[in-house]
Amino acid sequence: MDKDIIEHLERLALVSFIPEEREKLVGELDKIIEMFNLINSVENLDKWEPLYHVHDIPLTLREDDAVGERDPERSMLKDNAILVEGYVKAPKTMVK
Amino acid sequence: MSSSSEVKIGLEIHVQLTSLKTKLFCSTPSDYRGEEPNTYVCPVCLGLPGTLPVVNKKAIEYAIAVSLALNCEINDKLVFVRKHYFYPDLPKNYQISQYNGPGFSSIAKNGYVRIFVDGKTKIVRIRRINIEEDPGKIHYIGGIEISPYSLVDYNRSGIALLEIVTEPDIENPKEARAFLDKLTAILEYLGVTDTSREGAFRVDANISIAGSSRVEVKNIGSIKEVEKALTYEIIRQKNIVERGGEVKRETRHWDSSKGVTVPLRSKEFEEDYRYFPDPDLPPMVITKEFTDTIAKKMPELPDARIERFMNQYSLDEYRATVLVLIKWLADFFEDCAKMYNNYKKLADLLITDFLRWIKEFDLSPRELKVQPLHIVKLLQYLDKGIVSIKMVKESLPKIVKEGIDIDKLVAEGYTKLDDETAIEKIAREVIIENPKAVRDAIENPKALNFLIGMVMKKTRGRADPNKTVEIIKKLLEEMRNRS
Amino acid sequence: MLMDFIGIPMYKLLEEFSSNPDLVIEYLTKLYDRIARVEEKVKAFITLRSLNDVLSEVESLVKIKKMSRNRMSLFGVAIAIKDNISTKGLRTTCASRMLENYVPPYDATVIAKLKAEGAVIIGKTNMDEFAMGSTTETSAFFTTRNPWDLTRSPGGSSGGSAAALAAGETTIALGSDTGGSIRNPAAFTATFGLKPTYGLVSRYGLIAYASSLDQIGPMARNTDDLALLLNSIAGYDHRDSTSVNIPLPDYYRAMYEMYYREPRLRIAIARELFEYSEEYVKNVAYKAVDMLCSFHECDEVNIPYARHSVAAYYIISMAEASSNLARYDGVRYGLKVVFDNKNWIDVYRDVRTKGFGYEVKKRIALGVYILSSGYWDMYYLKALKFRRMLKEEFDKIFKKFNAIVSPTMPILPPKLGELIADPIKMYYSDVNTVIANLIGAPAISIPIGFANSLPVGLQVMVKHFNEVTALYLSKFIEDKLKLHDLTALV
Repeated sequence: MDKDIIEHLERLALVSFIPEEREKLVGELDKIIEMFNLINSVENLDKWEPLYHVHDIPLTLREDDAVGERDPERSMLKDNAILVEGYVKAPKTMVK
Repeated sequence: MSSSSEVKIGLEIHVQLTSLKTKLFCSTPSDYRGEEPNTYVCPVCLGLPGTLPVVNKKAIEYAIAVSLALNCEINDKLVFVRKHYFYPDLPKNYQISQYNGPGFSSIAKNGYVRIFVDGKTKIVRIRRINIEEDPGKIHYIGGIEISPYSLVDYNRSGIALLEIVTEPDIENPKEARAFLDKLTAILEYLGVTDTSREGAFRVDANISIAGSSRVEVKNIGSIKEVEKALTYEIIRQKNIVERGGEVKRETRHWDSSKGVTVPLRSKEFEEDYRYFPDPDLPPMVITKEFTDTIAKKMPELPDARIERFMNQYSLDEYRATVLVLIKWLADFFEDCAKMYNNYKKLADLLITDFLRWIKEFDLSPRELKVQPLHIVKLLQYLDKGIVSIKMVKESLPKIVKEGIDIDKLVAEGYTKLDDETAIEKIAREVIIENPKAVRDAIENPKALNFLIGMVMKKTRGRADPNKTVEIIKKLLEEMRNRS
Repeated sequence: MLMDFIGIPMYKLLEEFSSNPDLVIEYLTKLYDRIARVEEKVKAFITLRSLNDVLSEVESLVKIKKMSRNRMSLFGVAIAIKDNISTKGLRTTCASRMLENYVPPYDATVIAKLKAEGAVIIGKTNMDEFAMGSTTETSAFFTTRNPWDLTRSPGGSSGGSAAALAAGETTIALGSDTGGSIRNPAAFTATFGLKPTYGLVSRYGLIAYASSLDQIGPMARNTDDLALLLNSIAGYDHRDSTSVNIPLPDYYRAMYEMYYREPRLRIAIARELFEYSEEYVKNVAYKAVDMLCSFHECDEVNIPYARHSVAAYYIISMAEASSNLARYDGVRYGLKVVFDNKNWIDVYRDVRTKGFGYEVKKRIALGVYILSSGYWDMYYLKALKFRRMLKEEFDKIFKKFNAIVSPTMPILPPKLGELIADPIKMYYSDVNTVIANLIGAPAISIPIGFANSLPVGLQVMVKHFNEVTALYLSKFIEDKLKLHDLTALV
């Protein structure tokens, strides 16, 4: 796993590693990938269907008629977001 | 020169299921339009840490109804998948949707829509239908370029959307228009959405011309804009090819105020959405019983209604199609047809002048003052000869706008004027009042029209046109002989 | 009347409070005295509510109890909550700078249940950041110490809850378990911890790490308390689509019924999981096994893919974590930076770099790697196939056996700084616990002794929804070894 891949992952995940962290990461990564690769040494694994949910339960279906509450006081956002005239302030999206 | 078969257009439509009362994954009310920002939200549609989605049963029923109406194959399992990308309007920085992979796929695929354009029937295939959540809405201070930051309203976040993607079977803007008209009609007949609501119907288009790269055009705000945007883009691409250039594969943005497509900043790297089945939502098995129950509840759809109109009212496909695709108009037609059986005459009036005045006055079909009976009576009077065609055209705007009863007008004297003596009396008045026009008419027989028009004006269109012409000619002849 | 409440079991407290509700005030005051004396050394709490706040809340609670004779099954009992469970109006940080000042506007379902049962939430406990870790050392704020040896880790990621229990700072606690995060610290602190069957306890309000593996679970100082607490938090929740809708037993009653019946069970000894353990741990564990097997019928079983399970666990959990943590960008909640005139990609990256610690960033990056189009089939899909295979293997074992036992952890509580310096060793230390999460089965950690004065736990894993059997075996062992309600001298 080399520096390029780490940079690519930083871009996809939108995180950055500081130089010391990157050093550490490069050191650990080979062993972690080696651990991941254990999975490829299991015999006949391709015969199996993937297990996405551990129980076979039906999907909960919610009735549309049970209408919930509005939030006129903006209680869901006012203590944790920056509000400007009721809108949530976010970084600009126009990229020049 | 290039033939139309060189152009390939595929459409990607996002429809909000506005008939639902709540959002797709939470019970927050869905009628957010016009409300204060960020007041139609809850922990789930804001993606607050620790929250989980619970799917709206009716949304799934609607999705299946639409899939059936579009002749799709419905998957035996509904699997929700996470689609990852970072954007301020997407609270979880992933959207819950569907995708194709091992053990999961779209809710429906391989359907088709029949369209009737330029006298011919054509099939536009549907590639897939997905059910997914809408993101919030981003606003800007000033314009998008000068805004130092964005302002986000999450009221729309979590609203149920259907994504309908076609194969690139469409070959010109007119077909695109016909397809979208048909699709909106189908959706309206199903009652799952009101496509006229702001933002409820969004279209992206993929256009390529013979062999060249595909260009995606986004941000087409309405069906009317679609024809314009497609026309522009096709010409743009053809110009490039004719000059010997290569069309770049990119995403462009339709600017309706300038009437052009502009490139969106091209990304440096491919978007990897990292799809995987959402572990918070077990799959839903879609049984035949479930689908059948929905199929049974489906109303008469446009294709069936068009066929019925053709059989029941002996209308040709063109007239039947125009009526049916405008549901309220077809309903109005059928209400009239209960009382009046010259269906072709009725259809013609409704499709032409009637519809034109509705649009001209910007009347809401839901709040019409004019009733089917008004139109029926008008036509009955026409048939009986009590009013003339010209009078129908002249009185129609008022009838349409205000719902005036023709009986009343007729009682007040609004009938066809056949009486030659009466016409002559008015003609003489007109001649006296317009000496210059008379001199022109004597010299040049073609200049009669002004005088005829004045007679019509004075009689509010009631004077029989042929008799009027004869009488004026006669009077002018008299004057010529005297002088 | 009990004068000294330190370490008194909940089931005893409930009896006292039932006849004299006012005792709650004395109990809580004494508890806070204890906290004041030891917390500086243990550092179990990220947020500790003030005694005043707690007492004024209790005042109304006591009134209700007196008036209505309301059967509040946890009335007046202090509970410490792991800081990844949403508490309305009370800061919930996940031990991360990203959520350092996040105050949830809603309660997790389990919190609403606890409040309805009259429990008194005294504070939020320390953990590994976003539950990613096995020692509570990845917490962005500080490290919690093992009350049994302050130079050592209490385990993780629910280290704060376990330490608070062991130090007598709380009577009961909640933790969460994704790969062993309840059982690991329970084993390291001589306390009891249960990871319930997946879907038994609602995850609504649990700040997600790996959605298909996470469960909230009870932590306590004895089996009775554990069972009573499980009763309060288990149950179907329509807000959680992975929540299972089946009728549930009264775990406390059912456990006692079984306990009095004294059934002889068939117990599987997980051979590899013993073999992978350190000598000291093995010795204590085998002694406990001998005791168990002198009454119950035991047999050894092969656990063929134990180390592969660790790989599968990390592949799946890192993938899901990268997705669950995508939402943290500081816009709707969380760490704020100044961002005027900066575009969102740069701002998000800045917030996430400042907000997340190294271990979290690493797992997110690896998760993105695993889910990216080139590697999806190679790792993620494979891991899910492995998961199905593993589940079927264990279904077979559970057809023949009532329980599978092993040491909870293959090592003794590590010195602070020791395990965190060797990430691979740290990951593999989960080898005994991850299986239960992968297959969704319940598993409990029971104190069975000390080695070098350090706690050792035994893990009992049972089949889906069979918590009663696990509780019975816990009671059985507790009865014989008397290693319950232990309070460390801090």
